[in-house]
Amino acid sequence: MIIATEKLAKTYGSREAVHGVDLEVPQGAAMALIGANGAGKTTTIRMLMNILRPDAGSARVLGVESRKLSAAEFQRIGYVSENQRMPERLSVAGFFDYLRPLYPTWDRKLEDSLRASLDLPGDRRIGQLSHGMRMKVALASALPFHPELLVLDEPLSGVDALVRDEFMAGMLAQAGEMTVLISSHDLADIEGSASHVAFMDRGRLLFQESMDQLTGRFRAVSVTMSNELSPPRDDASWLEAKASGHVFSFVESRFEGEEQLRRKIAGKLGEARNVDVRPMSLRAISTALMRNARRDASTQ
Amino acid sequence: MKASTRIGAVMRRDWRLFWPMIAGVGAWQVLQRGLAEPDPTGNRDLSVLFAELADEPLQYLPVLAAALTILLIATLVIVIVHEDEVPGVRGDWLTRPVRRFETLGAKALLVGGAVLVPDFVAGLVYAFVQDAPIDAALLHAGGRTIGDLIGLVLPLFLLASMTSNLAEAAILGIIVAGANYVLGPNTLYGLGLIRGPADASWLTDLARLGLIVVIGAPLVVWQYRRPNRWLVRSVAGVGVAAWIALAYVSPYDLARMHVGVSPDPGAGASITLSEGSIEPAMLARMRPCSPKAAMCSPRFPLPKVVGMPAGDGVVLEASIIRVRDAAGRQVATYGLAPASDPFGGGVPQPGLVSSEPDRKAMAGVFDGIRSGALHMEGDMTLSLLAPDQRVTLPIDGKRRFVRGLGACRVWEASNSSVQVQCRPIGTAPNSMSVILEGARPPARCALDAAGCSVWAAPLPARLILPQRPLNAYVSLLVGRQMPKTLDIQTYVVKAHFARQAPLKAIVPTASPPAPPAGGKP
Repeated sequence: MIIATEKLAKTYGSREAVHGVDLEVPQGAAMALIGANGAGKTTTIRMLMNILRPDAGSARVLGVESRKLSAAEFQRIGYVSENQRMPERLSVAGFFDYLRPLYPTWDRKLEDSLRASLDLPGDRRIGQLSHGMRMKVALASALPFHPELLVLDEPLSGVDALVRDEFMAGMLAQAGEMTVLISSHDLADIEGSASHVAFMDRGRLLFQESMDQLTGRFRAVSVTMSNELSPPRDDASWLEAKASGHVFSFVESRFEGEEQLRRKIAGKLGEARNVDVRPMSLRAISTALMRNARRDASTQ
Repeated sequence: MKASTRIGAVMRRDWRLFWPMIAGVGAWQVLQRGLAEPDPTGNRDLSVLFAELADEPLQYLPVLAAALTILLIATLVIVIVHEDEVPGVRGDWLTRPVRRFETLGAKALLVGGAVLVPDFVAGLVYAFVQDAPIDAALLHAGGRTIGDLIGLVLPLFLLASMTSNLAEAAILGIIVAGANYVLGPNTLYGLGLIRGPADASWLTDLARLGLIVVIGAPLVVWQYRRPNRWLVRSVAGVGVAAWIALAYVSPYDLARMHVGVSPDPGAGASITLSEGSIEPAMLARMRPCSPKAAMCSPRFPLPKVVGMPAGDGVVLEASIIRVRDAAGRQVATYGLAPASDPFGGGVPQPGLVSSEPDRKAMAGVFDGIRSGALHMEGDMTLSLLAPDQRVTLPIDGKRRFVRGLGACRVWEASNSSVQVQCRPIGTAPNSMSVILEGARPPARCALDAAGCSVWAAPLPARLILPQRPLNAYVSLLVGRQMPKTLDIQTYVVKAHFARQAPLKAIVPTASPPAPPAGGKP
């Protein structure tokens, strides 16, 4: 595992920001860490990067205890964060001049090509750039040394669609054997690139699995009954369940095949006139999960 | 990859970011500290240069410029350190392959170079302008630079390492400075809690520098190693409290510590204090207190120094007057009020027990002393000084560098008085007397006029700590001709020691009456 945490926890005052997180990121994976704002994603990543000290538990990154990450490991880690504070009075070119000597594997050609493809103005001060341009500078500075691990904390927040596309294209072009951990509360843009997904809610890691497993077990289901429905019996695997006239719709979170699903529906609702089962996008899945988490929070 | 490569990369980046500021502050520092340093003797250079401005606010410009220098240095140190803020969690440097100690090293080197190199150059310029030779100039500049490293740069670095922005640092700095101002020595003096002509203050100054090194340096390292701004702020707060508390060490206790570090403890063994007497002329001028007198303090004859080696001098450092009852129980303690200006008169004044702290409480004690129910004892700490160097300077107003004394200038302040100033550069004594032919008897020992001609208090020569300048005003006796030269006698400390002095109080006495007006008694 490139990243492995065990019961990782962090508390701010009386607020538990991260609680007992066991996260595993396999080598070569592109892990999407998803969850609503305040779910604990940034705190988890900051603990992984040794920016924050965990209150309990442990984390290993590149096989090293996170608290002991040193220059040798950071030469192999690229880190981009939405809140990253870069030397604002330095020009873009000056920033790259500063970084080059820090990385023995720095690839000047790759730097040049990234700066050209992302259209970064070398003479502009970083503080004068827009948020999107700053994120592009951050990404371009995290790739030229061919990091083994790329950690991206909400890199696309507040960034327009064009920049998002350029950003993701830049990242994907260099991905290779790199392991990526990317946190986001909006998965539309990383749907095509994430191989694994971990979902956090209120400081807890609810699940982590491969993208295939995740997309395989979620289905949007619409059931048309012959008679008007009475409120159906609750099922833990059905999210966002709602009835309207003869139609009952929900998200099945444990889909194992249509036959099995039809039997389950028949057992709970009776014989259906029509059952429509559709695969879901990652964005739709994450939205359903977050709504469900919010509903759970409000009922507690 | 070598640590030096990474430190160099961070330094180059910071230089690129801050070189205009570094160059500007450095140039200002050399100009202000090298050429326009406020005169340590108290005179303001501008009033000397432009006599017509003597009473104008402009004469304070050098003092304001010196304050501006401190502000500029503080800003420079703080912005350089804050570029990679230590307490934050958003800094780009946190995830770059640079160890925290390497960042600390890069910052320390750049800050040290940016502040201390111009400081050193300014010290050289200052010394050369005063006609000092190269060795004295190097000593002066080096001592000042080390002093500023400990007393200025290190505290500022600590302040910067536990704050995230300039405003936060400014607020914290103002709180600390305010606490020191309110609780520090100025207020204490105002309350009358500091008493006596003690001058072992170098011990306090040294302790304060030690405090900065012992607490400040480890805190900076700790903050970079394991940032914890509240822990570091708490420990730094304790350090500031200790810094302020040092002001509360009484001069007498400080002088007792001085005895503990006496160069030759046996040198003063033959010296004792005997009961003195008040000159009849002085006694005649004293009169009993009236019941309505606001100030009415017991006075006593100054003890005589007995057994002092010929040629040496003795000065009183500090004293504590204990009032005891017939059974020997201590009823009260008082300080000895500072003697009058040593150059103000040639005759020793009788001691005056300080009555500042609580006049009402003292009234009962004084009644006891007057009735004989209570008696006084004096515990005194003294220093024995031996003559070292005697220098003759012409009274011509020209500045001369005198090795071992500094840059000196002697001029006629009036038809019947001479002023002498020496700015210490390199090593300089802190114990000197000024001898002018035809003047009133030279500055005398606080205890004994006979054979005692020491002016300043005995301090070891200071290098890192600020040196005390000589600024003396000597009056000629009526009808005497103005001589062509003036002598300065320097002394070295032979011993610090403590003695008990028999004190016979004369109470009540009031201040000598004013001369009768209109010729009527």
